[in-house]
Parts: sequence; C-alpha cells; structure tokens
Amino acid sequence: MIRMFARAALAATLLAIPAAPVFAHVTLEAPEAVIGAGYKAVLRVPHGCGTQATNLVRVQIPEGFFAVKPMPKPGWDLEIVSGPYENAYDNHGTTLTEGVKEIVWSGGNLLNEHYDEFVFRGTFAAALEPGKFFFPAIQECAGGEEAWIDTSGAAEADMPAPSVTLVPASGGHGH
Amino acid sequence: MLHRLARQCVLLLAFMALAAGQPAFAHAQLLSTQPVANAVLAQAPNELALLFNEPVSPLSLALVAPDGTATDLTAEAIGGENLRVSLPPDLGQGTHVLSWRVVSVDAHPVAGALVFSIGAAIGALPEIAIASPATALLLWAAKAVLFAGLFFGLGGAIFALVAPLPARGGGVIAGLAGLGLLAAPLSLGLHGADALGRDPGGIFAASTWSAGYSTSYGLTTLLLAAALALGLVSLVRFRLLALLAWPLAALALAISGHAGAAEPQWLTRSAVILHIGGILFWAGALLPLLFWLKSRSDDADRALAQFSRLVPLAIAPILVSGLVLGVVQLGPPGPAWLTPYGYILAAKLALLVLLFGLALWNRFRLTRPALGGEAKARLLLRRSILAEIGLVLVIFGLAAGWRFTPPPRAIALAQAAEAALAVPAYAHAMDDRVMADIVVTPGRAGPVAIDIAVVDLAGAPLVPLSVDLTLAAPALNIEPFKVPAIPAGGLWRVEGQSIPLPGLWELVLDIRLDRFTLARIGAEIQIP
Repeated sequence: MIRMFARAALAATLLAIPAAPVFAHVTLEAPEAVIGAGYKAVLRVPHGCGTQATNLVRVQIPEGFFAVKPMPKPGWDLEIVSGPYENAYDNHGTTLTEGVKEIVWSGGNLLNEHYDEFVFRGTFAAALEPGKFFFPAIQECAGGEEAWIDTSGAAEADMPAPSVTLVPASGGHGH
Repeated sequence: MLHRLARQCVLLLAFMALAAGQPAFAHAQLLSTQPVANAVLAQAPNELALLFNEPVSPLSLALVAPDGTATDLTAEAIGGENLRVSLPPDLGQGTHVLSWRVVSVDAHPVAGALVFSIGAAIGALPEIAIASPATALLLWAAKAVLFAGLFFGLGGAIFALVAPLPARGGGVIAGLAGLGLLAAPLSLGLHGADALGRDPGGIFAASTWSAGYSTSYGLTTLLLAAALALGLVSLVRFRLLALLAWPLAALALAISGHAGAAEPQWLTRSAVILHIGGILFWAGALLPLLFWLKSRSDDADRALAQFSRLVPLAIAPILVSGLVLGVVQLGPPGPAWLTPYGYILAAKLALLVLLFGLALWNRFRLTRPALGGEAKARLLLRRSILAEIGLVLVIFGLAAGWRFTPPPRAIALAQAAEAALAVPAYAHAMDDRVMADIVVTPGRAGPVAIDIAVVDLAGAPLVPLSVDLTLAAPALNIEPFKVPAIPAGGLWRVEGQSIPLPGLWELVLDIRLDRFTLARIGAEIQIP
C-alpha cells in the first residue's frame, strides 16, 4: 500500500517538478492546428535568459512537419539546417524526402525587457495522431541558454517545449 | 569444613540464579541518530532520536541554540534502546547542538553531541561540557580504596572462617574494611559526578547523588557497603557473618560493570560472581599469612596449611571464570582487540602469569619447608607473599581502568553498524530511450556522493550534454531540490550533497540527450 502511494507520488513528481519561478514560457501563438493542413507557427519569446538579452533562437522541426519555410527577420541572420525525412511526404503532388530540420535566427539582440516573435510555416502530415505536437526551442544568450525542450506535456513542467494541439480535419482532406 | 563449603556453594548458586534473572545488556554504544549528524533540515523536527545497542536512561540532555543559549531537555527524554527527545516548538534557524549524557545498565555514562541545522548551518558550535578528569581520577582512587578494603579487609574476614587471624593483622584487616566502608559512599557520589560530567565539587549537590544512585552502580555500592559492614562485624563477633558477606560482595560486583552486562548474562554474571568470590578468598588470605609468617606458632602453621589446602578451590574458579569473561568480552579476533581494553587485558594477563608463578613457587617449593620450620623458607615465603600483594594491587588498578574503556565486543558491534551503513544504495531508472544506474555512497542519510551511469537500452554508454538530479521525499515533507551532476570518468556525479533524513526518496534525472532532447526518468531509493 505504502509502496503504491510512493509510486503514485513518484509519478506525480515526474510529471510536475516545481522549480524556480517561471514568468512566462516560450509558446506558439495559435494553440491548435489541423492534421494534414498548413500551419503558421508564431514563436513568442517573452523574455531573455534571466536578465540577459537573447542573441539566438533555435527551433527544431520534428518529423511530420514538412515543407517548412522560415520568415526572415530584420536584424537577424537566418540559417536553415536541412536533412532527410524519415518518411516521404506529398506536397501538392511532389514527393518530399528531405527538408528543414532546424531553423536558427542568430546575431540578434532581443533585450529581456522586449518581446519578439519568430515565424515559420509548414504542413502537418496527414498520418499524425491527434494530440500535442512539440517544437523544441532554445534561446541562447551571451552567458547561457534557456532550453524549452521538455516534451513531457506536464502542466507544471518547468520549461515546456512550445506545442500545438493537433486536431483531426473536419471535412475530409484538409486543403 | 566440607559442610561449610557445601553451604557456600548452595549460597553461590542461589545468587547466580538470582543474578541470571536480570535482562541482558552490554556496554552502550551509539549506533545511529535521527536526524543524522550534521543534517541540514528544511523544518524543525518535533523530536530527536538516538539509537543505542542497548537500553539507556537519560542523565542530562541540553539543546544549545545557534545563539548559544542552552535549554535543559532531560525531562523531555524517554529512555530505551531508542532514546527519544521531544524538542520545544519554534526552534530558530541555524545550527543546534543536542548535548547528551546517558547511562546504561553497566552504570557507565556515555556522552556525546548531535549537531543539526535548520534551514542552514549558521552559528558557531558551542563548547560541549566534557567529563571532568579530576572527577575520573578521584573516582578511580575511591574505587581503589574500596577494592583494597573489600579484598584485603573483607577477604581477611573470609579467611578467618577457615583459619585463625593473627592478633596484629586482625586490626589492619578491620581497618581496611572500615576504610572500604567509608570509600563506598564516596565512590557513589563521585560516580554520580562523573555520570553528569561534573567537577568533584559536584558531590555536594543532591542531584549528583540521585544520578549516581539511579545507575546500577547505586545498588552495587549498597551491597558492597553491606558486605563490608558484615565483614567488619564478623571480625569482632559472629564470625559466620563473613559467610553472608562473601557472596554479597561477589554479587555486588556482578550487577554493574561491563563484564556482568555482557551477553549471555546468566553466564557472565555467574562468572563474575565466581571470579570475585575466588579472588576474595585468595587475596584475603595474603595479609593474615604475611603477619603469621613473622614468627613461628601453631596457629601460624595451621593458617598456612589451611591456605595451602584450600587455595586451589579458589584458583580454579578464578581461572575458569576469567577465561569465560575474556572470551565473551573480547569477541571474535579483530582490530577491536587492539584497543585500550585489549591492552589492559594483556597487561593483566602478564601480571597474572607472574602472580601464578609466585603462587606455585610458594605452594610447591616453600610451603612444606616453611611448615617444617625452615627459617629461610619462611622468610622467602613472606617476601613472596608481599610481592603477591603488590601484584594484586596493580592488577586491581588495571581492572579499575576498564571502567574507562568499552570492551572490544561493543566496539566491534559499533564498527559493524558503521560498516553496514557505509554500503552504497542503488537505484535503476529507465524509459523507452535511456537507462540510468544510480549509486548513493554511503547508502545512508548524511553527506553522500551520487554516481549516475547513463546508457541506452542496449547498455551502451551515452554521452548526454547535461544531467540534473532532483531529490524529493514527499513522505518526509521534503520538497524537491535540483542539483546538477558533473561528468566524472564516464559517469555523472553529484558531490557535496546531503540526504538529510532516512526514508524513501524519489530521484528524478533530467538527462539532456542532445540539444533538443530531454529525457526524464525516475526511481525510488530507500535510504536507511
């Protein structure tokens, strides 16, 4: 009995490790997206690393989000890391087997006191399951980083990865 | 004569049976504490606990706050194997010290201090009162006088049961018994002062006496005083009273002290009674013989002949019981033998060999010619007996030194408890990508080092970017706290961390497998 409680408590701790107060998370503006449809991701960066200014923003593009194009940003250098996909995706009749795996905005200076957004778009594969889809993101500053890569989905997660909730297309093929 | 011996045997057996009925105890050694020493606690505990290898009674306990003020907690302590002390509410932040002094059934006080901190380790460590060396020295001296009175005074009275006493020697023997009778209560007061860690002047306080009397040495002193008084009376009238005093004195020394406290108690207490009973006869005969041998008379010859005839009956129980006690007290061979207790025993054994050498020489080479009237033999015998008295006194002094040394069996027990706690504790955590083996060394509450080996599911080592460890104990009301691990020789290590309390702990690892991938795995670990 005690052991069972202990297990339950451990599970609860695994899901919810409280930590240093978090003022705001890096999040995506549109909380929902349709499976098999295009999505404009607006990554909102509300603060720096502690009090330090953000110089670089890095977003991982996980498998299942293809045909990705980032929006260039004045004052920031844009870099794309491409690679092969695990699966092939149909993009309006063209089969895609490789594409963007990571987007890097660098050389900027986003003060802790300021707010900014980083934009990219792409398409969610039709084969994805409904539920949360995570875009792990990292802010890099002069003296450290803020890694928003916790994909556990826990409500009390310390530094959750930005996510969007995927819902099934209502009217058949979602174009 | 034989009738008398038979009666003595019956009496001895009766007392042995009485003594064997007592519960079994051994010299007290502190095994563990709760919280562990130097723990830093998030919240003030309600009580502290000290675990000993045998039941103890509190003598004095005080809690010293970070600002140096001391609170007497003696009334808040509950004795037993696990001594528990209720703490006052609203203990301030910082470092507190519980200064404790307890007594076990062998009547020997044990003292120490438990340091713990609330919130953070703040505040200078206060001075802890330690035992007064002057008190210990006086106690040793009082006991030496008491023992001299007992073995030469009462012992002389016991020898008078089987042989006439010399006229002048009788006065010396009575004087020694009287000195012992005075030293007995004095030693009790000094024992109380020693138990409480007070100066010799402490014997003027009533609390010192009640503390001394509350230990098992209290009853020992009462019985010894009674035995000495009986012996003193028997020297004047009612000679047979010495027959009652004899087992009484032996029993008195069996109910306190390490030897009578060791397991199995029916054996050790019986052995102590036989040991003391035999020594009382042997040592008690030395002074009368010394006086008798000054001049030749029928009475002197009768005393020497009686001694020569009966002393094997005393030596045999001394040897057998001494062997039994030595085996029990030393425990199995090991480093615990090389302690002051072992050194004292070695010295005592060496002197005993000398003493027995003299005794054998007396009995087989000197006694017959001395009884035959050879003046040279009588002179040698006198000198030899004088030397025996000297040796016996030194041996008593050594035996009294055991008062200050725990026997090897108790030391070995404490070391074994320490070693058992030093064994690492293990935990294994995994998910569908990564596994970790977590080793907490030592596997107990207190300062620990935690080593973490991170591998993939096939067991191949992984090279994560970072590993963070979160410790929590919800059952103990300890909130999670996160500490980074540092790479160390293929492992990840957390050093300088303290697991403040024993209990069930939850370990959660945040493993940064690569830039974007965080694995979080957890395990429980039981910290004893």
